[in-house]
Amino acid sequence: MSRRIERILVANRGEIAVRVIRACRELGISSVAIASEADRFSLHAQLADEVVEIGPAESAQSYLVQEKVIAAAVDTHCDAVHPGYGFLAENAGFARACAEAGLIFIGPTPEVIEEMGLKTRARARMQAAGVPVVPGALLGEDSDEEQWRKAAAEVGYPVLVKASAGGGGKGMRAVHEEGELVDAIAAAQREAISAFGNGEVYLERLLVEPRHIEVQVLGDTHGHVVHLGERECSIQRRHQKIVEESPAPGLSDELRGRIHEAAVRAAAAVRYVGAGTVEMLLDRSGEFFFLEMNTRLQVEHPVTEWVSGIDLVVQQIHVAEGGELPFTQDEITRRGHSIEVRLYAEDPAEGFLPQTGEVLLFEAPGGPGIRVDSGINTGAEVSLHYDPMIAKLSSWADDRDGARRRMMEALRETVLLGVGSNLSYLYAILEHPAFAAGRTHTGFLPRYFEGWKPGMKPRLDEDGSPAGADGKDGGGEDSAAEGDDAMAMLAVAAAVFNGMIRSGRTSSGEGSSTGGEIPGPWSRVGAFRMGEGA
Amino acid sequence: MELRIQEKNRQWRVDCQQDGEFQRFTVDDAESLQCRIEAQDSSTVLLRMDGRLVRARYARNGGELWVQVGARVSRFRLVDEEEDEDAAVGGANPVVKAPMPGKVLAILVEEGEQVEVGQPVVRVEAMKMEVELPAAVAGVVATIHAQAGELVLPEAPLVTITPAEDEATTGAGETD
Repeated sequence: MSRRIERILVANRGEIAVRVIRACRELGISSVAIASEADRFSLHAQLADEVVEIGPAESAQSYLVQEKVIAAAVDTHCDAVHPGYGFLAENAGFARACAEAGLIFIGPTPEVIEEMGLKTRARARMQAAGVPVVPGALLGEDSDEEQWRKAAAEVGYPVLVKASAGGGGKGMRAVHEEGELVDAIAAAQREAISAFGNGEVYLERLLVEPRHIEVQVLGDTHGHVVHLGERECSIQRRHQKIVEESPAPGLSDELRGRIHEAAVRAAAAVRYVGAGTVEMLLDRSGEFFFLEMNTRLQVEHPVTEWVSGIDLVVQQIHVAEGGELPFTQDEITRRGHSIEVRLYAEDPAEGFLPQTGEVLLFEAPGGPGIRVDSGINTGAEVSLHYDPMIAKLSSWADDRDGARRRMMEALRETVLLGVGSNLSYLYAILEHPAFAAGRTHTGFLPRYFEGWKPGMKPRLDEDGSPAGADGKDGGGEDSAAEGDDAMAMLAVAAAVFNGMIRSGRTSSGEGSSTGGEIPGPWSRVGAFRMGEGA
Repeated sequence: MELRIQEKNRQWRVDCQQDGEFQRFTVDDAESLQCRIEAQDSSTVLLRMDGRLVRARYARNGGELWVQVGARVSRFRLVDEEEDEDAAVGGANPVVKAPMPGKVLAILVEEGEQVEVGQPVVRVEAMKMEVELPAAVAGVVATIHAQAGELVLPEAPLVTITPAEDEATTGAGETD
């Protein structure tokens, strides 16, 4: 069932649509973008060979409307649809509808998408395949204390007690030793009964500051499944990944090997086709557990591409055509280290609220080992309608510290004006001694950066050890530099304002300046107005 | 010449004096910097500041000046004279504005109502987070500009307060 793909509808927007369009151009495949009214002139719509407008700005009326997306593909004579990530990427119904319309859905089968999307079913399936899952036990309403103790001992302390019908943290309790168990379960049962009318509780091993480690897998329709190594994605803020890297620092080869092997087992168990990710939680004890499987291309796939040299989008398309993976597991080598940061239009100075507006200036960094996946350009409009992640930067170097330093330099070179972003936050994370030392875990941002604002020094570990401990990093240098930067920015503002006033570009009285000025940079960007009154 | 420059809730007075071929900026009568623009185009400034060379990128949007040095970005604006009057009563703005794009959930005051400094006057929602916006001045609610359910853009005026007599100097309340 091999079929050559000649035209792909990219069912997405932003940086991932740009990423897929680039791959299409390289492969000589023509690309069709879809764009909402708000995106008519956004970067992905500019780069594609063809654009179809599919509705108003709200994604619920445009990018998420399956019928419109499929109609766009059929009308423009596409053979395949690439869903990117988000939107319809993990929608089994959409994958099915594509097939019914005679379109190749670039991704796994609808059955696999469906199965992996149902958490409890995915968990059972993985357990059956011999992939470790977080130990847990269900305790019925009529279970007794004896059974509770036995179950908790089997799950292993510390345990989390939660209402099995619940969600949203109702009835959740952490139990660190057996002495606290009975009271906690009894209380959880009472709360569960009053909140959900069902006293069933669920015990689960409580993982304290686990690491989020995930494995990239690739499968083809000929039954081959390989892994492309792991990614460390523990630097998360409220479950939102911010910094990712590959390989994961500080894993023994033995543990790394077992994690890879489990991921391949997971993918093989469902006869996975295409690019997928098996997410795991790695406990401090060294035990790891299946979290979920993402049946699509992942945001952070560039770090894997850097270290493996394999283009995942190209492979997705190749496999979707019915092709065989062009390499075996043994032929896949990994070299060096890669770090990715996500640039979000969220300003830490504003409590990370999403920022909107016109991008007055965007300039991507350059130099060896730097890659930019951006969905915006100067003049783009960042709106509240879509994901605030506007660009990704990734770096590569022979070793981790090299990749980290390259990324810091890249962040200093990245210019984004007009829309507030997390640029300085990313820089501070990469500069942090604990990050430099590779001490990454899901408690990293809560522990060091809670309440952080630009210009502040993040918290250090109790021992204050300026990490890296190689001294080169100098944890101390930043505080002075931060103050200098703040003063430099104010000086620049004063110099620019002063220059404008002195050259008559503004008047202090009645507001805006008038014409008849000497041509200069200001005349191009418009007259300056003092304040907003008058 | 003295500039009043504001960034978010901070305000500086920067006194600019010619100092030979340099400018001397004195910030809030304390910190003093010797500066000279070495080169400037429409988006870049090379500023010599106390002997070191700082490369800054900038862009203007209306009265806003965005400045980036290294990985840090700030947006500044000049404070005009009317606002100076407000600054004289503590920099407080009698107009409560939307701090970010979002939705007005509730107006917590009525026109003509007496409000105290810090009293929540509007509840807004952005990204599923609720925020109560307080009055920055004590006084009487003059105008309510928005209603519950309305979507608002940053800086949109929501409630204007006429500052209480003893605090108001001149012109306050007309800032809208």
